[in-house]
Amino acid sequence: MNVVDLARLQFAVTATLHFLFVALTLGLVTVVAFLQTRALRTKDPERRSLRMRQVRFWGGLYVVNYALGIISGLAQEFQFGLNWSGLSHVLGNVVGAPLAIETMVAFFLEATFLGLWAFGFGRVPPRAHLALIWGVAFTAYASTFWIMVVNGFMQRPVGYEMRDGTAHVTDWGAVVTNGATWYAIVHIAGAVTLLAGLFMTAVSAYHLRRDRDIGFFRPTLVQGSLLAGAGALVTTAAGVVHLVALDDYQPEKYAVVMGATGAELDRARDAAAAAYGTGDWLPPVWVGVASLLMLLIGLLLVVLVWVPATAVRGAPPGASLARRRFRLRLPAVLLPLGFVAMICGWLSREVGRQPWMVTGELTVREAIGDVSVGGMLASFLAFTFVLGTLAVIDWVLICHYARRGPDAGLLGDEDLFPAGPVRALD
Amino acid sequence: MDVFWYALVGLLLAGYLALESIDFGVGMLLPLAPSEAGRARVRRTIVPLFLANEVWLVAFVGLLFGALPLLEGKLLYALRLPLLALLTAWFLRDAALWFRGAHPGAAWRRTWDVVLPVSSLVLAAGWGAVLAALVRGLSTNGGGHAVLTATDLLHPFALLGGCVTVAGSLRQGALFTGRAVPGDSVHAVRLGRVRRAATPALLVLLLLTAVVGALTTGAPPAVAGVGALAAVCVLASEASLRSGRTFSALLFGAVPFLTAPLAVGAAHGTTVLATRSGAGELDLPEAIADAASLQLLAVTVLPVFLVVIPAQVWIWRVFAPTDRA
Repeated sequence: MNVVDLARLQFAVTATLHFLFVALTLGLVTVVAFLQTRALRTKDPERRSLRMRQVRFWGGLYVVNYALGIISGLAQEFQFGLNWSGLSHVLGNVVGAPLAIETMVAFFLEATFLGLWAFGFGRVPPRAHLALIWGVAFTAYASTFWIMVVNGFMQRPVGYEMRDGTAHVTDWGAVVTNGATWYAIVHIAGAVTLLAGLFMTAVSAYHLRRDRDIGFFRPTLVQGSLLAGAGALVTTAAGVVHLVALDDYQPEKYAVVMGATGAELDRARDAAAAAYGTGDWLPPVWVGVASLLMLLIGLLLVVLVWVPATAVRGAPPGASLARRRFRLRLPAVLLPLGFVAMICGWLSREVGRQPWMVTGELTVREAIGDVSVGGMLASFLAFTFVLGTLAVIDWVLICHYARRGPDAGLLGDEDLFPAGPVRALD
Repeated sequence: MDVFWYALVGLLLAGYLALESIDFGVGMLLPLAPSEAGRARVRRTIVPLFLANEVWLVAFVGLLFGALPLLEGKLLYALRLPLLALLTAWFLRDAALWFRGAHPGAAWRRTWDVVLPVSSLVLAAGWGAVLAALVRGLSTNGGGHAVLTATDLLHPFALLGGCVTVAGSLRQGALFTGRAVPGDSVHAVRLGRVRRAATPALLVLLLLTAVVGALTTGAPPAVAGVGALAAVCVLASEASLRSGRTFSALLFGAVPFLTAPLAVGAAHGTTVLATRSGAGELDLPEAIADAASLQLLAVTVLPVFLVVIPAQVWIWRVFAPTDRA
């Protein structure tokens, strides 16, 4: 393996880990924000306390998941400089500002708000506490937006000119309204909703199969299932629009993703060579397989994610649902499929961009820093081993707390994440 | 205006070091708690705050990329291996804080009780050594790039820098944890002992650093001046403590960390990446982003401080242990 392969593999491993956790984070934060809003608007103290229990349970799982999102995100942020210094040399003036805004506007605020929210139950006044979770949700999506501005530019550079070998932005409006950014954002917004819905459904179904806390998990089973359904529809619709647009701005990726072979693929190869000069500018053919897998899982999910919601039909409130086995086992299969589709989508978009770092302007080979193979191997092994281990631990903990149910606290910290009555908003 | 952005980036790094020095110290001093309940309490004092503290470094790297993109590429390249060690320690420190309480098993907790102090020590010592090496100036490798070598890190000045940040962090950690621990407990006595040992050690180390810095760096007055400022503030911190104002003591105790990035700027001025030979250096006008980027940053990033600073004050007011605890 050469330095470029190692650096790419390193980025792929950390980005995959990051994306898996962050996707669930993004979806769950919105769910938690809505649950808390509803809880605080509830006048009846008993119902309100049930709803705050929901906030603490799903919010607790959200925070455990967030822990790994941030740790793997650090690895991502530093990798640009550690391994891909060519990016800052050639495109620092274009991608630098959005990345800076992403960390400053979004992440700086998000982390501060999250600390206050997660440990502020019972310590921060209810209205402020609710504002905090919405602050976290809003900044999380702002963060996604700015990172996708960078990513959109890498897919389809717009609004800039090259002077003396470095890029300069001529039109920020064009950069932030880039279609390659927006198709992806809508697609991702749908996908994270789908994932959060599947997660809620799977956890709720686990408990309902065992007749535990039926009053608590029956509503979230239905909500999760419907949320996943809505998310699946948005994801699929945005995905189709996105795919059609690809033909326009990344014809090489389009050809491979559509499974072109033979003469058709050669035509795409020749067209790229005409545009960019001699060379092979097509992404690896296996991207087409990843893309197809994503598509098939997506279609399967569009049809099946609604099914668990029907498990409650005809059953009086509080009645056991445990015998509706198929519908309560299904989410445990659908959730991992959702994660697989997520990874496949990531691979389609980013490996589909190869061999470019920024389409038409900078190849990954040119963007790599002057790092030795040994140095790159060291960082690859360190990141993969440490992040991989922590990711496994984190996922085991998520499963553990999901199974223990609503009264386990956050990471065992009952006193930092206390139960107890909360006043309603007037 | 270029200097403004450079200073702002430096301020974010200074904020990170000042705030996280407390976390590093609390982490290193965890083993002083005599019981499981004590260790759990120590962890709880810092868990709500560390995320808001460490995010200053994330903001530093982000703004560095936005405002001084060339410096970001060259600096991270130059510091590659030390940063790799620091990042790994950072991941593990975070994991220890997040996960320690997540499982009741004794072996589980013992594991994290080792990971937390060790990773905190690596972070405290590492940042001090790296910043001291930046003050002294980096080496130049065969390719003409600035690079931080193992020899640079083992130079007495860098080692002293590492010792200063460790002693300073221990002192801050002892002050912070002391606020949450009952005054007559074994734990409080141990913390008091650490602080009383760390204060003179820190003063001596600062003096030594200033002397060695004056002899081995290119900017003796800058290094000596920054060292003196830090030492005066450590003394002021002791005085505050004697009059019972532990929060002021923490603030003064943070100054040696605030001055570390200042020392880099004072020693090299607008040479934002300095080497001892002068080859592979980077000057501010070359490193700064173009006007279009800076304009966008000015309208987006600067207003953030108006929200972040009150939010950070808020989080301290809600969660920082008070003397009454």
